Amino acid sequence: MSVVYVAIKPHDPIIARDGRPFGRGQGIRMRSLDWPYPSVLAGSLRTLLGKKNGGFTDEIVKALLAVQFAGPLPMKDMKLYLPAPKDILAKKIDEKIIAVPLRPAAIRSGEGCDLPRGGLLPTMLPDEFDEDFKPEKMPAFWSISKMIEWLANPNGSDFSLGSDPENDEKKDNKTWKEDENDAEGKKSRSDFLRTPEKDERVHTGIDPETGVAAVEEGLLFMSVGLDLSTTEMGGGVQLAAKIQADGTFLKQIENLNEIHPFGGERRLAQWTRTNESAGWICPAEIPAKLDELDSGKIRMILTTPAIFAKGWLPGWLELVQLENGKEVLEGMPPEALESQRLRLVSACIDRWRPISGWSAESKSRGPKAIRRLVPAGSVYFFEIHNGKEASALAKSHWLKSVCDLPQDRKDGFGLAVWGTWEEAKKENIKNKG
Amino acid sequence: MTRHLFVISIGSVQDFIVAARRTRDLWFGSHLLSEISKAVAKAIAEGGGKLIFPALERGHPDLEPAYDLPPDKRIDAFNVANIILAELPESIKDPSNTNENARIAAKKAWMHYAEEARKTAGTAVVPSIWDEQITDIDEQSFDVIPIFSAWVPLSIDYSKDRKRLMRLLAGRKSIRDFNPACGRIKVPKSSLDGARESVLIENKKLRKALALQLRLGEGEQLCAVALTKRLGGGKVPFPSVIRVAADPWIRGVISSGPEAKGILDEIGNLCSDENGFASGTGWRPRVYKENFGYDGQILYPARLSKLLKQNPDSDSDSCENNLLIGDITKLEEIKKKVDHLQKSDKDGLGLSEPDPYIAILIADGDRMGKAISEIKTTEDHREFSKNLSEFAKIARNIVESHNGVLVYSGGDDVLAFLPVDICLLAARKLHDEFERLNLLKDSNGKLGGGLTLSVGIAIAHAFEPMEDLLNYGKKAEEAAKGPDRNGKGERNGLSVHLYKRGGGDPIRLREQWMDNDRSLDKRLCKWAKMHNTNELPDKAAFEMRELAEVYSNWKGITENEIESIIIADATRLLKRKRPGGGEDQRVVSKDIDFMLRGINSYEKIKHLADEIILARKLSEVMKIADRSAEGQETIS
Repeated sequence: MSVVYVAIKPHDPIIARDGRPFGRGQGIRMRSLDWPYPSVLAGSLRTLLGKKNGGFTDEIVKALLAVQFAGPLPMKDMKLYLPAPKDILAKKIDEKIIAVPLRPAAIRSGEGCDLPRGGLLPTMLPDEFDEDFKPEKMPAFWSISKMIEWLANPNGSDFSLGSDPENDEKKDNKTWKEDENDAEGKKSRSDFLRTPEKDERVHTGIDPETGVAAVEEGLLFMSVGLDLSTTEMGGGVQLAAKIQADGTFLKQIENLNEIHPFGGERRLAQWTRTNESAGWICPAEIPAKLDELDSGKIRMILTTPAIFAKGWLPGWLELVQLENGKEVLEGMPPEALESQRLRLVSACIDRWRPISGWSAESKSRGPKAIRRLVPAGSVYFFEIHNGKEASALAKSHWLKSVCDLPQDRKDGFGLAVWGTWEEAKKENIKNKG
Repeated sequence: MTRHLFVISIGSVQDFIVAARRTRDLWFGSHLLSEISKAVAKAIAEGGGKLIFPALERGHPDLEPAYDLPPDKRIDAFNVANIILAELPESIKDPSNTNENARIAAKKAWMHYAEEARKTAGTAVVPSIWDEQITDIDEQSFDVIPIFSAWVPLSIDYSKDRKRLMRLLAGRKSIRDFNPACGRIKVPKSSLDGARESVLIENKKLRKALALQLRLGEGEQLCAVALTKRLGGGKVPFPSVIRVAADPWIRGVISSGPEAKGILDEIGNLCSDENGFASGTGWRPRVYKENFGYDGQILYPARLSKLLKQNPDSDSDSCENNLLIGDITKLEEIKKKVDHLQKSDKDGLGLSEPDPYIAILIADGDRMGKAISEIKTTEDHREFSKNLSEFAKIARNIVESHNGVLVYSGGDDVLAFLPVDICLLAARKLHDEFERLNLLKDSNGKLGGGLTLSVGIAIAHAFEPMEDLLNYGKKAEEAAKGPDRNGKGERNGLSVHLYKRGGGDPIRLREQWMDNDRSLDKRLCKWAKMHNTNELPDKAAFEMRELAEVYSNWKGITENEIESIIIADATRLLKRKRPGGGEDQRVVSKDIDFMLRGINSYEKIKHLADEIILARKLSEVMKIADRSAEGQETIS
């Protein structure tokens, strides 16, 4: 299998529906996700390839399902953006936004909570943040460079969140595009992107018998699309994908330059082969920092939502009883070495999200079964058996799927990036709080 | 031996309650969550824990489940917030036992309602899917409603212990563990949130037969949770948003004289038996039952015609398209009477159609977290809890005395639907009463005030989907928290948003509450009154908007200079008599002076124009609500 990179530039707002029924007599509204799931990318490109190769025979379907996808991730100026990690909160102090890290913290004597089994720790704010506060809204996506900075920062101290485009806009009523021209703001501001704006449209169905719009008959419906073209998302944002294929498919993707639907409602996008953008390969800072610290602690952040056999918990983590009677959760991610065995310490995981979709395959045509996703941006804190192996794991599994089922991995769910972590150090944060 | 401070949080209010299509789903979602929380609180108290929040002692009648009450009393049941705080005595050595018992109690409460709904739904449900969705993998897990708990040893410093406890709970919640779904292919998903498969049978004929009982929307799919919200709790009627929207009109009909009132009563009589077009409102608020205790959709001619166009052969499975035998005859009768009331021809009383707009009010106490963190002892915290529960009752009274429908009032947070004409009065009262509670003790141990309430009101079309209405309300509440358009004045805010159907961007106003006649609520009422007395010409607001644009980006001029120019210009506009404005166009200079005081910038004149546009909506509904001669005077 060879790797090809593809850029998708939507011409229209993208339709990436959630699982609620839609259609005549079922619901007159489509609702949109905040960002398309990996299956939207995989499904759209597999359809494109299928059509180029004469349809969807069993053989072709089987071959299409073997094509491997990573994405879609936002890309701008040939740089990837990743969903904001969940192990950080933004606190506003005197108009300044500061970063508050969440790190695993020991439970004191006599304390307790009902965490799942496996000797897990809660993640907590550093003690130095005396007052409780309401976290500011975090921009939805971080540039790869900002994410690297966060991953290489073990205790989260001295980390700058720059200025927040969301708040900026409220304050000076500037559009994001104008910010781009502002030389001073350019560096920090281009580190963040917001969720694309939702574009609502009311449509009229056409009565197939009369050929006219039949408003009276309840054929009015509403679609909601993700509008990447708005300044909200920063002009010039595209969707980036990394694809692994071979044979005819590979050749076709290598020569890809065409207009084809992406997502639902046949909304069109320009698909082009592109060069590798910054971020797909593990940047040198990460393994260097892991080696330097040599602490045996490694952090995993999901950049696309993951589907795990045990719900929130990767199926490859098993409950193991140690000799001292303590229970731990241990295991290796797919395709990792035994020496890269991980032990889960803690995690920052948001509520599950449902995914279903519509199966176009003839044998299962209809609604797919609901599955539950661990949202993108979720963080798992691990200890690795052999500290020396942490950097190798980060390199080999950078933006690689950690899902349990091979097909979910091929479809691009659960792409992970890796970094360092350690407990927050008091003196570093004290100065900021 | 140590005492412990124990906290348990039940579910996510957002996820559980907001997925709703009807007010009844919405109310019951919040009622159910409160009942589950109550069961948890009761289990803690019975296990020896001393509750702090809610501050109820073991055996207190408010800890008893609402399902033991008669149906019409269930709405009044004590509301327990979804976070429970308790002190565990030394005798409880391992708080994880308390946690286990609480979880079991929560699940039992849920199962009571789920099974009740299952029984009512009967053959509408596919048993195997139902079972999958409500059966957990073990006694401890609770898939439908996540529960998290934490505990810390109790020292002499309560405030510090509580803070540590809440940190630990947040830490616990950072791992929102869940089990994989047992999804099914080829089964449609719930229309409310798409998070679970539908448990309803596919058979169209059976669905049609059950449409009315399940109050189905066209093609609506419900999972076990949604079905429990739709049917659980027995026959507890709840007013719809449309009844709230129609309320001003109903009051108007009553105030217009005995003839109209008589016709309205006759319409009520036609709705009183079992039917598919107008369910009862129940006793909350009482005034609904007294005035017109039925759903208001039949009072809207467009809805009425739609109901009359029944096609028994159609596939439709919505409750509206599957009325009972005999309903059409009743509807035809109703149509005649509605026409009689509304039409202005020689046979009609000319009372026009009801206005379809309602106000969604969401209020939230400001800086409550900070206030609670300053509480020094468990006793003070209990007192605080009691005062907060007191407000929940006060809030219900305020909302209902303003002809509104309270969905929940959990203490410092309120969600209600109100008639547009009196929504600002209710908001003002809620705000003032909350301040009057004196929730906190000062350093001398005396009760002192200091807590404020931010209130968001969204005025929108009642026929919009519930999801949108709630969203508008939420946005208004967020805006109320502030800051205002100049980046100042956070909290203690009032925001009023107006969403015109198909009418472009909403109007958004937000200011901090003030105790004088310049407060936003008072101003809006005053402008509305000026509209009502024809003091403000109909087109004034839009003309003022145009006028405002003239002053955009003026440079090289002092504030005083621009103020005098804008005021002169706006006065000219307001004093101008308009053709067709009628004889009673009155120009009251002092009102215009009041209106234009301090208008010295483009932003301010633009804001004033928005205020006048919004006030016009209020005025339209006020006119509908009061047909009596002296009616116009009651609004200030």
